[in-house]
This record gives sequence, C-alpha cells and structure tokens, in this order.
Amino acid sequence: METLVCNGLSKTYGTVKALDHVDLKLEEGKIIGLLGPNGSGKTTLIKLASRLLVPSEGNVTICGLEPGPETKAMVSYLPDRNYLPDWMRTKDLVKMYQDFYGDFDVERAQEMLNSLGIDYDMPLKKMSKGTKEKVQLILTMSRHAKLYLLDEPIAGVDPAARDYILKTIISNYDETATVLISTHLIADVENILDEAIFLKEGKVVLHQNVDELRDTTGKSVDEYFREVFKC
Amino acid sequence: MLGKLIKYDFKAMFRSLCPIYVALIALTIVFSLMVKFNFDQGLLFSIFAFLFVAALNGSIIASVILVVTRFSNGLLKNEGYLSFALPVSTAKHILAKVINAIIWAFIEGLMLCVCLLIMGAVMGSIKEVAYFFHEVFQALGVVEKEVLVTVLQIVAFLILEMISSVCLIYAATAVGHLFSRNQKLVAVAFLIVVCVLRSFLWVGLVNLSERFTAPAHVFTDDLILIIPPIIFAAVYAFITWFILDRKLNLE
Repeated sequence: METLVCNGLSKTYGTVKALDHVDLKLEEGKIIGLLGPNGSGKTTLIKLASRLLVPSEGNVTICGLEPGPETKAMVSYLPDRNYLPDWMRTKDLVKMYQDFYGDFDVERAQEMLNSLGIDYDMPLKKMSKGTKEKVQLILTMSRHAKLYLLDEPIAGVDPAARDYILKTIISNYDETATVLISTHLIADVENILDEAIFLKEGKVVLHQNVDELRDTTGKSVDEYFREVFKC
Repeated sequence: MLGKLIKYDFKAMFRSLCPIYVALIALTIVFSLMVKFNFDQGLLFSIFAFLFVAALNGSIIASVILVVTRFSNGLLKNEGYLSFALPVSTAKHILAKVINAIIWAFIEGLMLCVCLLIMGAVMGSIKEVAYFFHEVFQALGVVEKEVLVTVLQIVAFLILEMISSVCLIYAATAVGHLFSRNQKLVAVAFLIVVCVLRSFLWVGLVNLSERFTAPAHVFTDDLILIIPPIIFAAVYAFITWFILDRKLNLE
C-alpha cells in the first residue's frame, strides 16, 4: 500500500520554484532517504506532506487522504529546528504528546528517555542542543505513526549522537510505516535506507532501491550522490 | 481538542502572568497597610505607591502583550511547527487563542476587583466591604427590568468589541507575517488603517439610522448594535484563518 503519493506536486515562492511537478509513490514498510543539496526542495516537500504548506499545483495524499487534521494524526513530523517550547519540561511534553496523539506510546518514550538519562523535570532551555534534539526525536519516534517525516534529524549533532538517532529510528518504526528522512549527510544514513530519492532544483532526478542503485552504478549512494550533484 | 489547545495556551500565559499577579496583590496589601497605619508620607511610601501603580498598569499591559506574543510565538514562529503538526484544524487554533485571550481579560478584571477588595478590607474593614456588596445587590434587586436589559446589552456589546479587537490584533499579526521584512511595522499599519476604516463605518451606520442619532437611545433600544462587532470579528477571523491556512510559510 502507498503511504505517500505526489502527483505533479509544485510549490512556488514568489518567482522561485521550490518544487517542480514532483511525482512520487512511497510504499509502506520502507525507510527512504530524501537526498539533495541545500535548496533542492527537501524541506518544502516534507512541509507539504505535513500540511504546513499548500501546493501551488498538483497534490499530495497520505494514505489516500488530502493533508489535514486526519492525516496529521497519522504523520509523525520532526522539523529541522528546535520547535518545542523551551520553558516546558520533558514530562510536560510527554503529557502533551499523549494528550494530542492517540498513537503516542508513553512507555516507549519513557524507556528511551531513561536509557539516555534525560531528566524528566528539566526544562528544555537548560538542556544542551544535542539533548534537545534527542528529546524531539524520542517524542517523534514514540508515536505509532503511518508516516514519519524526519527533516535533517542528524544535522548538527556529533557522530555518537548520530548513531543513537539512527538506531532509534530503525528500532522504533512500525513495519507497516514509512520513514522519509531528509538529509545531505548521506554516508551516515545510507546503511539504513531501503530507497533513495534524489532531488535537484525541485525535481526528482532519481527514485530507486538502494541495493539496485549500488548494483547498477557500482558505487555507494554517497559516491553516486557526489557524482550527480558535482559542483 | 479545542479544550486541550486552550489548556496548553492557558498554562503558557499563566507562567508569565502569575508572578505579576502575586506581586500586584503583595504590593496592594503593603500599600493598603501603609495607608491604614499612616505611613503615607516619605520616600518609602512614594516608592511603594509608584510600584503599586506600576504593577497595576503593568499587569494590564503585560496581559495584552502576552496575548499577542502567545499568538505570534505559538503559531508563527518555531513553535508553529509543533502547533500546525497537531491533528487540529487552523480554525480551532484561532478559536483557542481568542477564547484564551477572553479568559485572561476576565482574569485581569477579576484581579483588579480583588485588589480593590483587599484595599477596602485593609483600609476599612471586612464588614464595610460586605455591607457595600449587600447594598449593591439590594440596588440590583429593585432596578427596573428595562435598565437591567440595557446594562446587559452594554456588557454584551463590550464583550463583543473585546473579541473583535482580539481578532483584529491576530489578523494584523498574520498580515505582518506575510512580509519577510518589517513585519511589526506592517502589522501596526494594518491595525491603524482598519481602525480608521472601522470608525468611518461606525459613523456611517449611526448616520444611516435616524434612531441612532440620539445617543441616549443607542444602547437602550436596539440589539442591532451588537451586530457590527460580530461581523468585524468574523471578517478579522477569516483574514487570520486564510493567511494561516493557505498562505503560511514558517521559516
């Protein structure tokens, strides 16, 4: 079954075309890398699927539905920035997610928070940048969502934290769910990917199974990416 | 979901306003005690009197500023990524913010009444305060039905005007957000332009109806006066909804 479908999806900011007639079908049970250089349209695509933006042309559907409150209940979205109110404590945030999302798994969240030794009573503003990002990821991955949209989840964290984040993603998504990870740090994520999408100037230039990609090109995804996006 | 949105907005406002209200009550007690025990001269009294007035005004200004910043921070800045990812419609987000603003306006009014009561109780006596209320309720009991209806109409009109003003501030903030630069300036300009237009509309409405020409009849005869604030509020709310739902691009 297809979790996310884009038909001729375009988004224009003023005169700048951020996405240009994107056609995509993402199936369930896959971890997919949305790969491209800065400004290629990765965040725009994720924002459109999260209903943080509306398309200029075309459409996007999540499990057959137009983005809206219904699809938001099925999508677990991790933005590329600190988006949680920094005066809130971890336990307040867990309660908040539990309040708003019926698929939020409190036990899973507590397990992950305990394993990292994150203080429940500490407000976010007293945490380091890396710890904040881990809290955000834990909250996102503690949902039993149909679609996980992770926008640059490993940018700006140290390599040890990257390993933890990727391990968290692999071990916490449901088998029927789809995970879309946007990043330009391909070498770090390529081992966990089932499929790769290359975005260039708002257009999909490649959407392929990563094993097939390695076989046909004789290169790793990272090497092939560098070749395609050579400056 | 609407109740949950209101709860979290209320909490966010509470943590900022609670210390201000505690300070206001403490200063009211100190100020009242100073007056009662004739410490009402000298530098210390002047300082406390100044602090008391500042807290009184500050609590009103802080409520207004917080109502605006809660809207702006909660929906138009980084926190907007959290808010708009929630399984809630844009209309409910706006409604929750409006209801929250009204709740805090009532709390603000209540706090001012509490301060007056404290002053009355400390400077005079609890008995005098109780007697005052007894008299007020007795007077209300004998008041004519027509006067009571007029009072209720005025109260309804003022509440609707307040809702309309809150919606206008939200619309102005949303309009400002459409621009990448000078967002606050655009919001203020929008606010001024709309206020001027609204004044003209009010004047036009009053002139249109001969019945409105006598100011004494404005509030007594017609429920029609509560319609314009409802229409204005609906227009501002629609502008806000349209921008947040269709044009929003969080950066």
